[in-house]
Amino acid sequence: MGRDEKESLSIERLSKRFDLGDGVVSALSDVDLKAEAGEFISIVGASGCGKSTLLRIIVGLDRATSGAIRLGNELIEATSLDRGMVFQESRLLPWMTVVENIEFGCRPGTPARERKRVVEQHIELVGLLGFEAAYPHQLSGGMQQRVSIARALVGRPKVLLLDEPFGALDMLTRITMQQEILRIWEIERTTMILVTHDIDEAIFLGDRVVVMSKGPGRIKGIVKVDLPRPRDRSDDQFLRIRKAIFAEFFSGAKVPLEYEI
Amino acid sequence: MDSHPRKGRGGPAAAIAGRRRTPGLGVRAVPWLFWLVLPLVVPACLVVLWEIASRRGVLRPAILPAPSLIKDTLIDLVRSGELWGHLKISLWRVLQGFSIGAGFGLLVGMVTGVSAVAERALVLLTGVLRPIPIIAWVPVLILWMGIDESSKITVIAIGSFWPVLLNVVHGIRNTNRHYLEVASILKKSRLTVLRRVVLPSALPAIFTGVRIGIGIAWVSVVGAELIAASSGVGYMIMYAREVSQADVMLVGVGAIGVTGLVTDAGLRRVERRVLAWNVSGEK
Repeated sequence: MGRDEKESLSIERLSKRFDLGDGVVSALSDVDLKAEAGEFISIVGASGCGKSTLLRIIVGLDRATSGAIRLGNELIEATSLDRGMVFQESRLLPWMTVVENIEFGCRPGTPARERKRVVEQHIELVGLLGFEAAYPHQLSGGMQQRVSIARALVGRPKVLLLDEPFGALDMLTRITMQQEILRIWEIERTTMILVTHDIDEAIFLGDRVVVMSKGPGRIKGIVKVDLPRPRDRSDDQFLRIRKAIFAEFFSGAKVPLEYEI
Repeated sequence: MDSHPRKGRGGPAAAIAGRRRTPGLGVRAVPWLFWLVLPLVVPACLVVLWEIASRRGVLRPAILPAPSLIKDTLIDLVRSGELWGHLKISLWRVLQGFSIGAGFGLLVGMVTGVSAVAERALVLLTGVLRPIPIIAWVPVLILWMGIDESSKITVIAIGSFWPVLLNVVHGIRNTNRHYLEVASILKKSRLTVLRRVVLPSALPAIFTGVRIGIGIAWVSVVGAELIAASSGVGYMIMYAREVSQADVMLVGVGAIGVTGLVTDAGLRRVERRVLAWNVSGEK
């Protein structure tokens, strides 16, 4: 299942400004980041730091004001089947069953037999065997998100962008889904970029954690997570990295006492 | 967790029925039989009052015959096949006219819903034509097409065209942007987006248009038959007036109402089946 063309995603001096009529808001300012092929990058930051905007630009739904993004040598200017995305809301089409929703993610022109095979394979991958004919409203939030992940993966994108995919789930479902996405990543080795506001989630999943600050949104620091997987959230090393991320967040500002670990 | 702009269908009546089944909201639990029979209570009371008033001579039979007399007339007209004969002719006209009107409404609605150019090109024309009451077309169409079937069918077609058109456009315009973004990420062609995203999402609105359209078609056919026809329920009512048969008139009027109710109930049933996925208010 390995992919030959290993390509890295590079973001170069990316800026995004929104013109609001009575003033310009800078959502992203000079963002530089390089994700190696097969890497798992977590991005954390407070709401309004432009992390979702960054993902929307990478996937091609929004355009940057300046700067460039490249996947391999190719300049990103619009959406492409090379880049998939999972949103906080599952965004499943309510009139389609689980199978039909996942099939909707297949590349146009895939032969019917191949479609059937890969859809079945992805239903198994996300653990939804037996729910093929269910409609989205019959599924729990976590199951809907599994379908959404399967739909994003079935077209075999090189990069998968995850925009707070577990943000709307309860804590237990969330932890299960984190383990699931890790398992899927270990099988598929797709480059993944996860946006979250949950620091533990970022450390649990990422090879590196990118810390963003707001007003304008920029990268404050990048913390490498040099721990073997699966990671233990109560491990000393885990806590050390967590501390380092907090330090990045509040560098320049006084660290509030309650955040001292 | 996707938010649907559509609220639960069925209006206030459905909301009340829903609340009835929800305990702990301070609304008294009602036995189901009472609930089933409740819609019949008010009409039954009215009929009883009406019968009493007729027997006491308060109501003149030539103006408003007693319910018992109307019932006898109804039985006669059903037995002789006269009522059904007229009703069948009217229904057939509705079916033809509605198919044409709704078909064009769907087509034009899809084109103007998708293309801003088409909408701009037609905005003035539709703006002027839409407010014209359907009855105003009847004399014009009789002049153009004569008094036979085609003028009546055209009146029905015009009447059912507008609600279908407006609701199709509304449904298409209100496609959730989130779904369109997903389709864009998955690089779906315009045709695929239209067929698999935009149209299904517009389907509830389209159904609303069809239901209003068929109601108006029914209104139009009777209107057209009142003015110029030699058959149909509208003609039956008009002819009964000329020969001063108030009971036959009222049977005709009642038949129109009942047919409208039955058609709408049938369409709702189809809608519930086709739009089974559209569960906005899941428990």
